[in-house]
Amino acid sequence: MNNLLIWPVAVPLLSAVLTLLWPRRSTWIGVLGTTLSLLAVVLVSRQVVESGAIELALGGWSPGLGIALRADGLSVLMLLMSTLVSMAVAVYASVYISRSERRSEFWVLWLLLITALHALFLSGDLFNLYVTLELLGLSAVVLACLGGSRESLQAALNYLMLGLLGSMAFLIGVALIYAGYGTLDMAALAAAIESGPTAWVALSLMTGGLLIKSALFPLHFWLPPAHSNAPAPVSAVLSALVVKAALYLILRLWLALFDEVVTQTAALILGLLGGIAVLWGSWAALQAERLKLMAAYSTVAQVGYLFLFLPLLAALPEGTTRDVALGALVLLALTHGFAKSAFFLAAGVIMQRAGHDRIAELGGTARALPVTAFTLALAGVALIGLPPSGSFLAKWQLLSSVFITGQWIWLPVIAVGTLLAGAYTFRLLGYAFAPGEGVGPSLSVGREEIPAVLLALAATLVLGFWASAVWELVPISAYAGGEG
Amino acid sequence: MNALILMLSPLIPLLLACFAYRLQSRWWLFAAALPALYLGLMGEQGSAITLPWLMLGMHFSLDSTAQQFLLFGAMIWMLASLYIPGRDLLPGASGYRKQSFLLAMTGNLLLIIAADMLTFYVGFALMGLSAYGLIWGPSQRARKAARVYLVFTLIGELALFSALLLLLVNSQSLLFAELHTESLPQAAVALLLLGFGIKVALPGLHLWLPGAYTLAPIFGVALLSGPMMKAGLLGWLRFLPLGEPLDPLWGNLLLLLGVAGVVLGMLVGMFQRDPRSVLAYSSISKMGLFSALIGFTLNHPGMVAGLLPVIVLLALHHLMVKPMLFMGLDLWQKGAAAHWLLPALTLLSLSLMAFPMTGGGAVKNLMSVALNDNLAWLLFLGGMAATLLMGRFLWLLWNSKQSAEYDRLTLSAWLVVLPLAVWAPFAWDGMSVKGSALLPLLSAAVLLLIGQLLRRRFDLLQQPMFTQGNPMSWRIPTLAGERVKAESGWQRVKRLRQRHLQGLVRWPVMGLRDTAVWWLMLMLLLALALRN
Amino acid sequence: MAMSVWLPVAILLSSFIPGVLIFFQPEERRRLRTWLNLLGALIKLLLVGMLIWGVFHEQVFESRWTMAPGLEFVLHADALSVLFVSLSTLLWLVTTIYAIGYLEQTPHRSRFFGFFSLCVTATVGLALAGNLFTFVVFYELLTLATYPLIAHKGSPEALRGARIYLRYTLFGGLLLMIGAVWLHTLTGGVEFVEGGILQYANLDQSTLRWIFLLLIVGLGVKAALVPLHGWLPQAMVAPAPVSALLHAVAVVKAGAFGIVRVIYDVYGVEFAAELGVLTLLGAVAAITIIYGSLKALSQDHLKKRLAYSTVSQVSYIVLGTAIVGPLATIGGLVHLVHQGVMKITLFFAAGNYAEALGIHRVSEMDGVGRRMPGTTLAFTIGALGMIGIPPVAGFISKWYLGLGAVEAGAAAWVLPVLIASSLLNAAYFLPILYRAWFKSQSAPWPADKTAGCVRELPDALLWPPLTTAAMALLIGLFAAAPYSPLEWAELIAGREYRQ
Repeated sequence: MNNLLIWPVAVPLLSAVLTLLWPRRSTWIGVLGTTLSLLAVVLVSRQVVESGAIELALGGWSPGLGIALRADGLSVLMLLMSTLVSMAVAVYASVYISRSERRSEFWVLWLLLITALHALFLSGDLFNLYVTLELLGLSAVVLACLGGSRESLQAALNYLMLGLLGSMAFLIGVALIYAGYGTLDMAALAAAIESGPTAWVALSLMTGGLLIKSALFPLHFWLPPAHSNAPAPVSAVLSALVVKAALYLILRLWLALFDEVVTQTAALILGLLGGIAVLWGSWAALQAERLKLMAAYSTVAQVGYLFLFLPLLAALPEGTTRDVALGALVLLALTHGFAKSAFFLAAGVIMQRAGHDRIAELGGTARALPVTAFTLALAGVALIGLPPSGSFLAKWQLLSSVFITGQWIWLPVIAVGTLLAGAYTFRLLGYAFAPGEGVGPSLSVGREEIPAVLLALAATLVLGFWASAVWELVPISAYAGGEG
Repeated sequence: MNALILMLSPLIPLLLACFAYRLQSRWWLFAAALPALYLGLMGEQGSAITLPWLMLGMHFSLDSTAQQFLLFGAMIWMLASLYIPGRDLLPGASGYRKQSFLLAMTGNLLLIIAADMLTFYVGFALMGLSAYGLIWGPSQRARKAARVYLVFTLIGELALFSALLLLLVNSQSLLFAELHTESLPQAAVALLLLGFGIKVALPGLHLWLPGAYTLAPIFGVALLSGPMMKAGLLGWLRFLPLGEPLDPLWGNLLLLLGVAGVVLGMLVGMFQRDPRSVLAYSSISKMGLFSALIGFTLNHPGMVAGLLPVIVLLALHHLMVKPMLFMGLDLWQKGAAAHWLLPALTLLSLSLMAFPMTGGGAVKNLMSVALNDNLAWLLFLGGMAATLLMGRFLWLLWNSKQSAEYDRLTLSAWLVVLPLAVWAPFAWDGMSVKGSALLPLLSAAVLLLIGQLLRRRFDLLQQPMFTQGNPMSWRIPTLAGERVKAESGWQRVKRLRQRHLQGLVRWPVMGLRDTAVWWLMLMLLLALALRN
Repeated sequence: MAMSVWLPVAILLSSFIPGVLIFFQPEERRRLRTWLNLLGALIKLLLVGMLIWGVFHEQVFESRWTMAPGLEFVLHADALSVLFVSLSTLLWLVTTIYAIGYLEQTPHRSRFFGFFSLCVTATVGLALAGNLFTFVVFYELLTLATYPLIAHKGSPEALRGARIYLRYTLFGGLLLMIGAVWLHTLTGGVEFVEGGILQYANLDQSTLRWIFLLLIVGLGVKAALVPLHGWLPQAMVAPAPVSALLHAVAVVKAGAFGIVRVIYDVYGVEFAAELGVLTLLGAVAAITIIYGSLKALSQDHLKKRLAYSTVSQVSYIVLGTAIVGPLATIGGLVHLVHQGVMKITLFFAAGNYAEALGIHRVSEMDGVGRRMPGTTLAFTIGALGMIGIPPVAGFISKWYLGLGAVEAGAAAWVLPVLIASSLLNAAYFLPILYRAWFKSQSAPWPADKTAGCVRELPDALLWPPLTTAAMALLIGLFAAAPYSPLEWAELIAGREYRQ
């Protein structure tokens, strides 16, 4: 039954091939492929919940030589998020992209992106990780420039170059590890890695590469243009999933593989950068004149929150309290994934309807597009971290960790960040709910509005009330000596 | 049955007040006081009822004080109801007289039968605030008078409220019967003196009174000067630890303030031109006497048993006489049968002066006995003040102008109540007919003479200081600056005689209404006579 | 057994589900929307009736749901929550009827009623919250549900008012949350227990003081304690039913209720007094009472005057809480109900004046009593109650507050505050009554919409204020009757001071 693990990767890959073969049916195949991979992920998750972490060595070679796939709590959660989000985005895209002549290209790249994501979350060795990271980056870049405008091309080019730079750094790190320890299997490495020059350098390189990809302040500058100029469904996945993939890797590295190496100071540095990202990103979002730009800056801020956890996690003793904090981190990432994708999808609807996304001219949105306005509101709630969203719980635990560790310095950061998030969200809502003619009237709920609202509901209600599953899954770890 | 009526006596006016906008006959207002009257006449003393679910639990009971207050209060309420002008009863009338009247009556009756502090307070507040509507009038001055009254009333109520809280925590029970009088907080006593002192118009706290008494409609003044003012006195009787040792400071303070009130009322009252103002200051003076007596009683716990009933009696007497004087004045000014009015008003005045053969005189006798020869100077002073003021009043009355638009019903009713007002105290046991007003009377006459001489001699009172405020004027009010010649006494008598004849001619056409009043009042008189 | 679990949830859902359904109704389906609203309100009333009966007989109602490790979503009905739940349920019903009448022929009614129901859901949730975490959840939800209601008109002033409201409440919510997390971290879970839990926890006292400060400032924003009250007068741009609900039940009361919860059921009042934090709170409450009244004096805008009056009146609750002793507790708690009933009456009436005659200012009210006697009667009862004239409900509150102060030996500063406040209340309410009843109309009504009508207003607008006014009168008049708010407050106080 361990073969199950192959499906979340194989299904989207096969569908991508099929799309190439039948470009005319690309929409159908794309949506179907996404649906089937959702099914596969659900099956995998069930098994992980029932019997703990599972592992599959492709081609029958033992880990260390061949391609190893592993699923534990963390990867299952990320998988679930990415597949659910991509499912919703696919439905949305089937309407949104249908008018574009680059439809088939979109779907091929889309399916490749999902493949890469799933493979990344399931990879059990470092080289595979590099490959999937590269694949992910490339497909994301191409998707990002599907918008076709000059700005989007420019932004995509920046994105590409920086992404390559990050990947290269990562690759050198991997090479150093291989040279030092003779294996790339993560389970083996988790036990083997000890503090030493090789480990320091490798970790720094790999983390540095990933920091670019996760757009942590001050490496965030590529993100807002790239995310805000891409077509809406692409922005949604970029912000919600691709950034999270890099973060997932950082977590894996810092908590499982290099847990012996990580020092409090290093974590503190990342935390500080995260803190600045929170403040700067929120502030920039408040200043943004365009809806999608605002959302993009908000992503910068949210990524900052995730990094705030690192110094706390480093300071907490292993055990329940640390698991709780880790769960909160994951929950925050998940909530942000759902909320931000919903936000971008809604922004896309508005853009299509109004022809622009200038915030100050959005009056009348609530009347013309009530469901979309509602989506924005719900997503905004999750971004601020108000109940009943998952991010509220996550923030609660974050604060709790702050009090437990006594790292008071984060308290004002979280507080100000929350207030700023409230400010930019409600600034937007204020315009959207004001009377005006900025957006043309709509007669019915469009098909593209539904996925967005479902995503937003997932972020605010489902993750709020059923979040305890996250904390049940996170301790299921495939890596001994890791976070479990 | 008695308990039920006890409950009904405030309830009926309250219910009527709720539907007052539909009541267009003053008989409704008249009838509202009937249960109270019944209680006053035939109620069984000691009957009580407790309504634990009402507010914080309300307790009504009928003791002898309550019964007497009810009886006389009810009569004044009934009489005053007839003085409400017809236009105030019409739908859409301004000023909400009916509502105010009925609510004030509710409050008044409630506080009389209250057996606990809260009930008393509720009644007191209801009465005090509703009386705003009795004072208010469309004119600028009346509005101001009403406003001043309201401010004072509110302050008084809040003082009382605070006092109540202190008392309650001190004695852990709301009931008067369980009022813990030892170790009474000093603040509570001070607040009680303040709270009720406003209603009783102690000097300094009296500033609301002259305006209200001169500008309110006559039935309002009658009620204010009678049942309402005495409610403050009743409050002291109920709340103060009479008969218990207390810091003599308070008794002395009250005594002092009371004496000040007597003197102040007398002095200022003498300078008034308006007979109503004179009556108003006479009220201040009279209430000063009461206050002083209560102050004395506070300091002499041993004499409470003897003094208290007499103070009540004196208060009741004043409760009747003062409204009667106001209403009589109104009748006179409206040109009602002067041939009866003048002697009647004189009679009332004499009773207030404690002239022999009047109720006032009888009560005063009783009082000197009860005082055991203490405070004779106070009684003397009070008597003199009353004499001077009543003399001034009658003088002004004699010289005041009359119009000719009165409601004959009001006259009939007034005349019926008159004997009750003057002689009611005789219904109590142990009354002697003897009066003791002679000494104050004589001294008052001497004083008047001296005053007159002084005026002639120095023309003192023509100084701007006096002329601008309330100048004492022995002259007939001038019209448009021109001094008119006074009507000679003889001419006046002739004119009055003329009108007397006219009145007699009109008599046979007396309506059913008047007959009913007479009949009712007669029965009342009989009942009162038969009561003992 | 089962009932004890589902009843609190059902009470929440009885307004949540109609609210959600209403969102999806097209604007023109007025009848269906009305039915949904009223059905929800009536079902809730029924359920709350069951709850009252159960709690009175010491049944335990509790639903638990683990949301995160150590974070449980707990709905628990104790006597205090029942007090607040029944108030909100009853007033919700009345306000819904009023709102249906008030918003006739205006746009966005589905949206309005949807958020309206959510607002009540959040309020009831607050009342039923069994621990601090759940309380914070609903506290924030309340902010969210009321924001669209304040902004409902969409005019620049409405948006501005809503923005200011949000600024304050998000800030307050954040502080509350920080305080709650801190406390939670120290104790491992903060359940509301009658009598408090912290006195046994053996924690550092100065930390507890800081936490108290955070919690109270967070709650004080909604309770409009000076100087955190700035949003309240601005929020009066909302439609009248919203203002009514906001001032009487939902937002302001939520803050006050939270303060009560924190002091009685988290810290324990004696322990809080031991920490010395209550003196400060009492001083703030006293300042708020006086300051609110003083500000109200100078307002010509009727709703603003009422808003400042709320600032002052709600602090009575806080004051009652800050004085140690069962009597003051009773006074504070019962004022929670009394103020709600009276203030909602006043706002209904203010809404009626605006609706029928376009009157927004006190100076325009000359002679309005003759034109709109029913409304003005209701207003009068409410205003007299606010001043504390017996037998209207406000008197009972003041009585117990004063009594509590005397009992606790705090008479020297509480009684003057009460008296000054009563005088000030009289000074800003009585002139309104005077204008309405005694003056005659001096200028044409600003916008006479009911000219030529036989009745002063449609039933849906006239009866709600009359009903609540009657309630204000009756709960004062029958304060000692069984199941009255006072009785219930005594029950709570009895349980709080059981040890």
